[in-house]
Amino acid sequence: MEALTVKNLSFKYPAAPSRALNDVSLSVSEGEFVLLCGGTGCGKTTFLRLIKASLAPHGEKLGDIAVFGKDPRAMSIFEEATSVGMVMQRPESQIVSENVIDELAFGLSNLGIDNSLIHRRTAEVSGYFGIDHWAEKPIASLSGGQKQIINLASVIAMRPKLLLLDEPTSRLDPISAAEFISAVTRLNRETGITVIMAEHRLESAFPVCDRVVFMRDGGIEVDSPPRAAAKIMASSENGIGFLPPPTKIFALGGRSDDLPLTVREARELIGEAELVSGDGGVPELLQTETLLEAKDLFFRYEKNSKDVIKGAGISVSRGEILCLMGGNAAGKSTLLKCLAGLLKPYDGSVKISGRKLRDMSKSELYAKTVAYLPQDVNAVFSCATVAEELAAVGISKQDIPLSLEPLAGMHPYDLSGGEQQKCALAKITAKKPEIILLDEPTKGLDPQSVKELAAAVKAFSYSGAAVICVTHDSEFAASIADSVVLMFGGVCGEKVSPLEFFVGNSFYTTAAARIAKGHSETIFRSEQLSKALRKAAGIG
Amino acid sequence: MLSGLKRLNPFALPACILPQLFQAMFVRDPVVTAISLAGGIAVALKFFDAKVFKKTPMFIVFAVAAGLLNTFVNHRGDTPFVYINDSALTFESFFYGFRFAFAVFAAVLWFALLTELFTSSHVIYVFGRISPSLALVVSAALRYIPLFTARIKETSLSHTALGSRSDVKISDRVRSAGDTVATMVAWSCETAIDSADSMRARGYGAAKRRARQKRSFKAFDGFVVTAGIILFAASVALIACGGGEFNYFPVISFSGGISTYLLYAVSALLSFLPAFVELREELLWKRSR
Repeated sequence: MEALTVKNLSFKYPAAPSRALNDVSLSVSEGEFVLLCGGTGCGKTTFLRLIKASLAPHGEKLGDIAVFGKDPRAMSIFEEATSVGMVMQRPESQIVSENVIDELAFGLSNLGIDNSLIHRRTAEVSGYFGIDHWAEKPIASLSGGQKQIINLASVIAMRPKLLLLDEPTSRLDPISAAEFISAVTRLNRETGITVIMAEHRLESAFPVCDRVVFMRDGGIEVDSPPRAAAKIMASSENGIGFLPPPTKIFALGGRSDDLPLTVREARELIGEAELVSGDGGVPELLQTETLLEAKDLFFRYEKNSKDVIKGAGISVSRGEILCLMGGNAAGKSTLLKCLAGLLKPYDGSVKISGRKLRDMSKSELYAKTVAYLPQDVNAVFSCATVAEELAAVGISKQDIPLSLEPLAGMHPYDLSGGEQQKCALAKITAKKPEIILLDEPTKGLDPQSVKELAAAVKAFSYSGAAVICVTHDSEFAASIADSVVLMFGGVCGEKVSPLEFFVGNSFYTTAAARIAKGHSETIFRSEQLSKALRKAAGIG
Repeated sequence: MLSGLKRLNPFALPACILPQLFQAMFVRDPVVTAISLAGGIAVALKFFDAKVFKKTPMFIVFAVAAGLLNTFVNHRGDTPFVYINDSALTFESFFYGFRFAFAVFAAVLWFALLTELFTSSHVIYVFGRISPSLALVVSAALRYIPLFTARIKETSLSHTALGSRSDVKISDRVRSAGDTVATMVAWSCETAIDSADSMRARGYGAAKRRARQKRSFKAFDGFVVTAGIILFAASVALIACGGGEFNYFPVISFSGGISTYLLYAVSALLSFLPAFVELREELLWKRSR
């Protein structure tokens, strides 16, 4: 039976000049795992929400949708909740209860089910997802990845037949994201639930799904099994950015006839071939004037709690982009706040251009010296329009950056993730600070926005600023870093060049470095590997 | 930790603890205050271990200070220590303040025990049985407190780092606090839309909400509730009959009388009811070994 049939669906938001969805037709059989990809604003979310009638946006709709043969609008709340489940982007804001068990039971309690059955169903899902051992915990003590698993489990407890996922991993670190996707994959394989997942980050989902649907400007451009889809997307300028890294590297390397979906396949395809990156020697670490230097920092949040930072030291020079990497709870964000003077370490020193941070007044420190971008950029916005946000930090109407000009009249919350990031970045760097501290700036961004962010960060370093960027994203770090520091358990590792870091690591590294391992000692960026592949094939 | 009180049915626990608060706060008789404090300490020893006793010297100083302070404010009483400016600082007044400090301590101790024992899951359970929708409100409120606290911290740090305002001028500080509030309101409204969507997506409003769990109400729970209520009623009745009518002024006089002695007995039983519940738990454990 068809789980979903969509025929000639078009949709237009009331105030929008053009259609958000344009003549979309799609049919999904029961048990299929469909991956929906495409840039911000391509209509993925609108599409998913129209399938789930209780979340459907208001606007002009043409065409038909049938979920298991039934128009979703004709379903009762009960019927809809038990047949179509939905998990959205932000793990935090989807949770309503204080503790894990109550959250798992939330939907079942809504349905008025007998409490012995509620008990059985919650017990069942917490067992299946391995939640048992933290079931009693308050939600506030969980990580983002754990929260998103709770959201999934709570939806699954209601036994939907169709599961819709709207960029569920975009706010998670890569490891939690992979865990989430493997939980979904397992669910699909073991229970036969139909899954439609919209995603930006495709390295884990692309190879395992049954079908890839690539959307652009409200229409479907590609609708094929992953291997065929990769081939079509590789040949289009817009599609190529959405491919998983190994596939993209080969596509750009002129090997579109034989595209790998995973690192393993890519290594098999390379075989014994020798890869030459063609770059010069090993790049040295920058030797310019040190702008920020921290030594032996110790920090804890409460007098009786544990140390979060245990003797960490780090330094960054003019024009340097330093990527601070490390797992969850390694202390990266806390260290960044200490460096920004926002948290006070109880031991150790932070010096800015040789002066102790402790001796500097706030007005001196923050106006022109240090800028800090928090993980959730919502914390930065306080005005009704983008223009007012920028005016608040002294950027007049005439001086609004080109890329933000068309957005000047909009509310910051109405912007896409990438646009919000741009606006926040413009706001914090308005006074041309010398040291820029960024906390997970790629979170929730689509590939195009990540590219633009990388360009913006590089521009800061060219103008002489020192940048420290906390990130989980190896590909992003490899594309911008002058140096990398790996943090673990509150301690910073030695500062090394990206080459040494990414080529030397096996797990904390990029797809390119994994593929080229054993073939080359210098390749770790996607472009390098693509270039080497072209060279090996005798192209350009 | 093995605890009989924690294992009581969430409805039985208040019957055991709430009367203690009444006794500590509203009975003027120093003997009852002492009994109540002793009962509280007996249980607190289990939950707060040595911490309670570490503060003892501090507390004695506080109690003496409260007594002394009272002598300066209240000059009633017939046993003066000393005259200052024709006003007597009396022993009775000192004792009144001194006892009052103990009553405060007993009340604080019982409150601390109540919050230690009556956790959010108890609150949610109790409300859930009374009204599942109300329980959801309580649960959501409990969740949003830490969430908002974290968000306010993050927002205020981010605004500090924006550095557009000085920390010295009051007008700047007020404006910057205003900015933080504006951010918090907008941010919270934004996430509230998500929360509402996620509730609707999971069938909120489909039917009358059902409570998640049902905990058994055992015979021992029944015993604790009955004992708590009867002892509480008895002590109220005895006080109404003139029991525990302790006079501090003009001279400390102990009325005695059968109702007072009965009140002490009832008080002792009531104050040590929680300790008894814990003792039973220890015995159950020992028996099982």
